[in-house]
Amino acid sequence: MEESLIWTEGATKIYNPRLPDEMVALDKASITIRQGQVTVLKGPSGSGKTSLLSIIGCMSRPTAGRVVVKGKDVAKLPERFLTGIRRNTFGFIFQQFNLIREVSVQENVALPFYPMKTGFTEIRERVDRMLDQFGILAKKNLKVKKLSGGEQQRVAIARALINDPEIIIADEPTAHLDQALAEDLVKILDGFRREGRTIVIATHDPFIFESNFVDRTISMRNGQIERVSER
Amino acid sequence: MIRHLKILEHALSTIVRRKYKNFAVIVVYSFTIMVLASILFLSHSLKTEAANILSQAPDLIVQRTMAGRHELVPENYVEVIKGNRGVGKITPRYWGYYYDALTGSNYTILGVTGALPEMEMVEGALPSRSGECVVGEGVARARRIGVGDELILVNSQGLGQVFEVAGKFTAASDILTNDLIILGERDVIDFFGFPQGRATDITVEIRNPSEVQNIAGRIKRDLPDARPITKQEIIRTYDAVFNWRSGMMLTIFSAALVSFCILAWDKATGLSGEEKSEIGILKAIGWDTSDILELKFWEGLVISLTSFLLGLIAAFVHVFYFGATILAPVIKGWSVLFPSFKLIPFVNLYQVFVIGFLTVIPYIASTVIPSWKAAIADPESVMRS
Amino acid sequence: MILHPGIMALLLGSVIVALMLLYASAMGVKILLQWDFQSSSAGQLALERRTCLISTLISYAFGFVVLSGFLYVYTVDDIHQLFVGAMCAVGSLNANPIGWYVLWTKIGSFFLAAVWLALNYFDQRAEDFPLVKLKYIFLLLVVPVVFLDLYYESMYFLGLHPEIITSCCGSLFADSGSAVAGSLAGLPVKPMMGVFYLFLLLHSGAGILCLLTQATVFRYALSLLSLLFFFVAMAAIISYISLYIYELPTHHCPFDILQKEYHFIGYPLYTTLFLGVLYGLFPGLFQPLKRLASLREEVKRAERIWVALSMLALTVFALLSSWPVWFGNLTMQGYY
Ligand SMILES: Nc1ncnc2c1ncn2[C@@H]1O[C@H](COP(=O)(O)OP(=O)(O)O)[C@@H](O)[C@H]1O
Ligand SMILES: [Mg+2]
Repeated sequence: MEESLIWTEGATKIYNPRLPDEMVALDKASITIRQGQVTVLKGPSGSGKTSLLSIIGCMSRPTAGRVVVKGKDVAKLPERFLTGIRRNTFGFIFQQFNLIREVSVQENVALPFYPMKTGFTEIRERVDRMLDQFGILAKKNLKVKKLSGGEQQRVAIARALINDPEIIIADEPTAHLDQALAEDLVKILDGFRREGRTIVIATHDPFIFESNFVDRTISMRNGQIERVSER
Repeated sequence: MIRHLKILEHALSTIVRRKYKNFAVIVVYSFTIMVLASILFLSHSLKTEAANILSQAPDLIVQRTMAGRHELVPENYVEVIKGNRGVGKITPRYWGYYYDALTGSNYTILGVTGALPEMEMVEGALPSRSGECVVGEGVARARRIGVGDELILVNSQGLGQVFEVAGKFTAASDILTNDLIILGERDVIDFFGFPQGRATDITVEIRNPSEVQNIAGRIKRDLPDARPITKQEIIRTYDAVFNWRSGMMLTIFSAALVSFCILAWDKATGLSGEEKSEIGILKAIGWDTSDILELKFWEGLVISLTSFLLGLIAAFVHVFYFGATILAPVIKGWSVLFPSFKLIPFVNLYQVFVIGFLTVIPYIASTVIPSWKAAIADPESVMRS
Repeated sequence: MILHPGIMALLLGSVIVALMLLYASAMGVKILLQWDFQSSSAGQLALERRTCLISTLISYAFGFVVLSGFLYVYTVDDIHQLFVGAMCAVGSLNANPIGWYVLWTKIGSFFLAAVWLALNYFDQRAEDFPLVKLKYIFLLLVVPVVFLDLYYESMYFLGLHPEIITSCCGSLFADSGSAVAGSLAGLPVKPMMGVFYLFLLLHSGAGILCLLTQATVFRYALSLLSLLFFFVAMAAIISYISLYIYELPTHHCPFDILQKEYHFIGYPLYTTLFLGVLYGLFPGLFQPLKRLASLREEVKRAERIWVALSMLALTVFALLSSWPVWFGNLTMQGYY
């Protein structure tokens, strides 16, 4: 079943408007993300991929245009409501791992739950289950900085998955990974797709956008949508 | 509820993680609180002690003024005062100050007739005959004398007079007896050369405390040159003086407080890159601005309370175990002879509350805007680092 | 001016809070002038983030107002020895009657700040910032009260002069001061009791009707009754509740009940009274918010909780204040 989970209409993001260093990062982009699909945003660096991801991921608001997530227009929502949607709907895998290095694996993975109403025991169980799934349960009490790059990546993914998100957003996930780890990652993402999650990936790495688990590719250039190709 | 606990937990873990930085803040903060609490503990303790001593003081003291100066009181005033209803025992007192050139200090010389029931003594007895004296701890120390020794004082004719030390007051918690020398009443009159029929002042007992004001008024009316002083008024003066002194100290001390606030501000504004990126990460993974503000609130509260407790304990030890070695000279000030008395711990909730007000509020106020600045970090920034 | 540590703490705190609120209201004015919810500009986002700072500042200020109320009463009590004829806090307040105004401005700032925080709560519940303008206009009303409080407080403490014996022989015979609360203390006990319980009953009745029906009129009635009950309760405390607590037929002080000798009974007493009155005021005050579609359900939900809390708090208050009357040792024969 395919239906649009997220769609944008004329989404525009302008940094520093009406100032000398005005920058149109996203120029009237209209796209659709379908439920259960893997969508790749493809384009050279600076083409506006991250800007678009952060808007559909409720990280920031567009300067103009509409953004509808699960039927709700989020373009004008106050920040704390955006945060609420982000908590319950999205899991983010960033270019950097963005882990707190001085803190244990377990705490890093549990952090998204802290501002929520979930109880301590439930958090612990979920964290353990998640770490087990990624084979790092044994290291749960180690500080993140003691882990290898591959393990850190798994911690970051476990954290993205801890709130059981419908939509996973990944921004240049392979940028800092070697070939073996990148293959690992694609396998994990493919697994998510099979679980029925919707995945949006921004990348300019051919290894990702040429792999065959991608359903749709949206090409971007200079903040505009250039082409949409469907497999 | 659980939400707040979890954020508190993270705040604690953050504080522990940055232990050196927070340790420095806590040290400075608790030192500030210690100084402040020492001032308040010390002045409060002195105040309470003075009030305790004064509770044994007469209800009313009648002095006489002449040309705006303190003058000796004619003994026949006793008869006039006796005419008032509600008046109990009336006693003329003979006492004065004595400058001791030998030690460069001032003593108070007081004459007694009967026993002094309320005064505690360590050793010896009150003067039972002419030529005996009792000295306060300070006098004994300054003159290096004890019971059985001789005390030589120069009388009003410039002649040396020898008194035998019959007793010595205890050092325990007594500001008033420290510089005191007690002689027989006759001895004092002769020593100072009081004119016939004159006393230093007159003490009056009054049966009903609520009558004190009225009787004082009537005495003033009957004896226009008399100056009646009520016990309440003395207590008030002591209070005012102690409040004033601790207030002065606090004012001077505010400078320290201000510099501490600048430190706190600096600590909160000068977020390290590491802290900034951490807050960015938290926001990106679903923490709201208000959650970060709460985190910062807990951090501030934990640091404040820790420093507060440490500072209070340090002040308590400083004042009541080490006799406020650093502050005592300033607060006790006026006396040349320092009473080496032991302070009795008087601490009440009110003082603790005041100390909290004086220190925690400036700290919180100086961290609220920097915390907010940190909390509004753009979650999106994490995606571009 | 008396250099008393408590006075310095109060003035320092009040100055800091007044400055914080001044800053908040300057931001509020900026928001009132520049707010444009339709705009997605960076400026609008910055304003939205400022609202967060303002509500934090006001929450802190509210906490301070509560604490400073207690500190004020303590301090005034502590300095009574400095004044001829003063036996407790009332005496110190009479030494410079501006002191009574300070109590009123503190109570006023307490209620106003609480209302502001409630408005803020609702504003944050809705996705379209429905109360932004109202909130910041209201803030401009709260701030002057806080400044008035600072002004009165400074005037009160600056105007206090301790009589030091070395310089003020003449003032020895100053008036012992007549009790401002004298007229209240003089209220006859039996009728006062009647009025007290009558209002309590009316309040509970209105509360139950609010819980059972949706009629607006009961909500306004509850608020009005809560407001009136505040004054009735204060009068009752001064006129007879205090007597039974002190077990003295002539001691009317509303402050001494906060002290250890009376088992700190004043704290639960005043806390329940203030909470009960505050929660009782809310339903009527916030009726107009029901006109906003985005808030109607929120207000209805909150209202039930307020009414219940108000009734609970005032019931506890009634029990606490009736206890010494029914079971205490004081019998008031001859004083009725
Ligand atoms: N905070 C900002 N201020 C100004 N310009 C920015 C900011 N963030 C991104 N940009 C600019 O917007 C453009 C699009 O950036 P981005 O969306 O990160 O592209 P991509 O992810 O495809 O590399 C870039 O030219 C970048 O320099
Ligand atoms: Mg990018």
